[in-house]
Amino acid sequence: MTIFHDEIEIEDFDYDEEDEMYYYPCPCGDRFQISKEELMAGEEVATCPSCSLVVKVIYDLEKFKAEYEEIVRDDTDKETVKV
Amino acid sequence: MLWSWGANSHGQLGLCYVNEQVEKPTKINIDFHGNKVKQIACGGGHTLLLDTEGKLYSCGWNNNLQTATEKEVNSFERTWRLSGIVFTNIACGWDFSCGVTDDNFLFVWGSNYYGQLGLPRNEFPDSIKPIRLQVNACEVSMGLRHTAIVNSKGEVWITGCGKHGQLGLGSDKLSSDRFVKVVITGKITHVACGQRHTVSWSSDEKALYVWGDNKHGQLLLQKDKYPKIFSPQKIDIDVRQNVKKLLSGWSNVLLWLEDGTLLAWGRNNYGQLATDQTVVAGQRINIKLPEGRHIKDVAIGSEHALCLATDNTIWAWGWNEHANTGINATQLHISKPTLVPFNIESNFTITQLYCGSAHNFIVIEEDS
Ligand SMILES: [Zn+2]
Repeated sequence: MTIFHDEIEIEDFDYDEEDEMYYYPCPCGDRFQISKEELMAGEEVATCPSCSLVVKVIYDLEKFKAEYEEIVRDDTDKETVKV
Repeated sequence: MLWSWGANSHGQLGLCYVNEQVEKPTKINIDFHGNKVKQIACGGGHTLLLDTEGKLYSCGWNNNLQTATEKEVNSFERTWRLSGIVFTNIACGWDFSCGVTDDNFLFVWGSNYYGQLGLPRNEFPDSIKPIRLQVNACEVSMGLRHTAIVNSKGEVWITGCGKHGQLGLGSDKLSSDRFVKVVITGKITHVACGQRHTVSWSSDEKALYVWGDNKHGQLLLQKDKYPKIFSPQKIDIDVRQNVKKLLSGWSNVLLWLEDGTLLAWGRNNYGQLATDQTVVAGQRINIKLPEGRHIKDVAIGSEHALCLATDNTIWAWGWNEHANTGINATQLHISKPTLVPFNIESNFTITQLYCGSAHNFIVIEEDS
């Protein structure tokens, strides 16, 4: 069984739009990270590239998926308007 | 002379290189224009250094401008942007920093994403270059995402993320992007911000005032009954003396008293409380150095601590994955005060020690 250093809600992560990654500080000085893609696939363990600690991401998979699909849809709409 | 060790993923050790970790205290070859080191403050992955003339240097992670330098550097560089300003005290949070000037004003820089610099979010970018605030600050502490200051009247003013109650402004004020006064009856002398909590000490009432997350008993309250508290709670721990230092790790607290007693409470999953006993919430551990050694100074990291003894030895405990204690990294947790192997010449004395998240500094001076 994985021992989590902590359980962190998704909204407490910082999202980097460029690399589509979610980040949260790790006590080692680096950051726990998990990609949007991993979250969409139901993964809930964020890892740190510099140490062995892991945190559990608290999020609602269905809600998370729905929000992104909505954003994608919004973007598509905007593009249509532009054209 | 300055030595450093521990995590170095962003060059925060000032050793002129970046690597995962430096396992032994290592000498930094640098001269601060003939001045000595007055103080060091360490954040998540960055470091500030103040010399005896009040000049500021920095190195390490700069993704949110927390070092106040143009670029990210892995050796101490003068923060020219702040030249001409004389600082008397410095502090670092996770990715933000501040300095108190000789006329008691506060300069802040770095991440303001959570309003932790006390600057209105709608008027300032997320990452901020040094800016002077009209805030009178005597003591200051920065946590993961919030900042607390104590002014000359002994009031606590606070700003930043308050989702877990760490602002102490009540359950309907869970964030702030400017400094707000925390309602406390006692006069506060010490304040320390952790990951999601705040602890403070009132010298006239000889009591603690605590608020925020108590998931690991870091507020000295029962976990089940008080998982989080949103307003300051006074706790009398029957200490009738002055406090030398009040320090907070991510979820553990150290209280060093005038008579030399060192008390610890909170999370102990990596030996942060220097004991391998099961610690219940509300329980205080009295940390003692072996063979009756006396404590000269103490510093705390995210999940580890360092202690300087009057016989010129360094003792460490807590999380050790990055050899952040300076003790062999094969031991992942150090659950009692353990000697940090370090050879020092007989005519030198260790005078200061500091911890960041998982990195450390010591200052050594030749005896005159
Ligand atoms: Zn880590």
